[in-house]
Amino acid sequence: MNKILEINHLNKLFGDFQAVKDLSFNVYEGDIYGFLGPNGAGKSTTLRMILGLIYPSSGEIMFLGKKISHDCRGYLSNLGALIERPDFYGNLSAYDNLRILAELSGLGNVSNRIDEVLEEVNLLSRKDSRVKTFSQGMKQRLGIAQAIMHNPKLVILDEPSNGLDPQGQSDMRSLIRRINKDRGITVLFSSHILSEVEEICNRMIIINNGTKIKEGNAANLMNEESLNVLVKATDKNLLVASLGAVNLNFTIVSDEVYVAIQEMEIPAMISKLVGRGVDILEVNQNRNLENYFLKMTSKSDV
Amino acid sequence: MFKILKIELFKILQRPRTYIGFGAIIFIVLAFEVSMYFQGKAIVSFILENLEKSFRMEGSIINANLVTYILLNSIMIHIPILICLVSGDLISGESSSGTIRLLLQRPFSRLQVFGAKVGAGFIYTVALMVLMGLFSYGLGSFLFGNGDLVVVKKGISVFNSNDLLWRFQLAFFTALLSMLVVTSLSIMISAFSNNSIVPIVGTIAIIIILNVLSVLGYSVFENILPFIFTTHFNKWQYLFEYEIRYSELYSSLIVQGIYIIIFLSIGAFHFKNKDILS
Repeated sequence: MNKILEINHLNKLFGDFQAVKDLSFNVYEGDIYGFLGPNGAGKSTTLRMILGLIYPSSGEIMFLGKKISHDCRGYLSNLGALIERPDFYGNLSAYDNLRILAELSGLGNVSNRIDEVLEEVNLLSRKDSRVKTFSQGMKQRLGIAQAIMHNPKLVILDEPSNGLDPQGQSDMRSLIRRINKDRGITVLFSSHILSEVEEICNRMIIINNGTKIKEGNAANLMNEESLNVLVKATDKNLLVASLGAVNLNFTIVSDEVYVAIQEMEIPAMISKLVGRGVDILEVNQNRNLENYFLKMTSKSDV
Repeated sequence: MFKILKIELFKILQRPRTYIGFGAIIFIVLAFEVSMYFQGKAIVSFILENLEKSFRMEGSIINANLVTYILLNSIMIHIPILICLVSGDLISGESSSGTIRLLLQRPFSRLQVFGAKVGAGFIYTVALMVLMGLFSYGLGSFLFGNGDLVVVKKGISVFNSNDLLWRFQLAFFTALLSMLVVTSLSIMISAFSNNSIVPIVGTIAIIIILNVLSVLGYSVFENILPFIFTTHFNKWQYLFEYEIRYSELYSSLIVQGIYIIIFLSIGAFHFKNKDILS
């Protein structure tokens, strides 16, 4: 697979505050690449640097094999983006908003293309309505429409499900999958909704405090998580002492004890702990990405 | 570049506040000329009372040229506010609404976007001035007809109606340059701000402060007054003197041109280099 986007040792300083620290990752053609991190992790700053909205302090961004220069903006004709809120000219219709953006993207035969994308995001019937009359969900869909209208190679979506109800979130996931599969557009996708990333992304990165914590295949990261088993007991101090005594590796995150152990070894661990007088309340092999994410970002905070 | 300029003009035309400026000018001109129509003779008689004792006045003093001249005097007060409503909002309005992100994600350089916004702001300013000139002269001709222009300023000057067209044309050009300084100043402040109120209030505040400095005439400011742009806002009046002070007029045009270049350069530099965080 070809690399479509390469981020190399990217840094961004706002005065004394370093928002992004030596961040590197690659997005490959065809990926739906998840970009995970808590609020203030540096996700939006990174995405804005890719789009030339924010200038990096140092580091390199390569798009389609060429280094991005912010004086030469031609690369943006192969990029589509929806960054944070979907802001449009509220006094203009959906059609006029898209027409302006299509013309700026250098599209010809704009009318047919606009109808096509509006149909794709299910807004064709509202094409002449002023955007200020749109709901949040409709604005998000219009945001996707403007991002894909010029058939870019890469679409960057910054928390596109923000403010949507569960049905809207589900529709958004379907739409993202569709533009990736049917149009062959690579998607770089940041979200707070971890289940969403888990469900649709094939590769992902977790960042916190501007630093990469983990990058890789989403399924592999989940397998790593399966080695960490949450154990709860009536007496946490006794549990911790017993785990040390039986030579099991463990970590304490947010007051919870995670034991690094293979699945097959769990029954033996329980026997040993019970033998040492530990009253076990729960043994939970959490396999979902949310726990993994919380653990990783908590660790990096420490 | 032309494509972005066309789009910027389209956006300006779609905004209700654009028409506030045009509406205000139509209202000001209408109100002034209609009141002159009904009460003008009494006002002019009051002003020229002393002169009428010394001179024999023939024909109608109140005519299209006089009302246009008087209205041109009002531009320094009213037009900057109307200009700022639109030009001050060109960049900061997009920053506060977030649409600046959409705009700068397209394959155009920031300087091209800035240039298009300046072009749109200038066209709007020219449109306001042209409307004011044509409407005040057109309505004046309809209500009062044409005639010689009497200017009372450090004495009395009378200009033959045949000698006025070129004077008005140059006066409007000179006044237009002053208004383009205002446009440039508001666009520069707009490039720094994410709030569309700041450029409007900021520009007007700067103009008022500098005007006050000019009017106070303290000797401490005397040396810098020629370099303050508001000092040059009434230099178009030189064109309604028998002996036009061309060298002073040219200096004034140059100073104002330099201000336009400085304001736009600062605005462009900041806009090109700033991080878009909104």
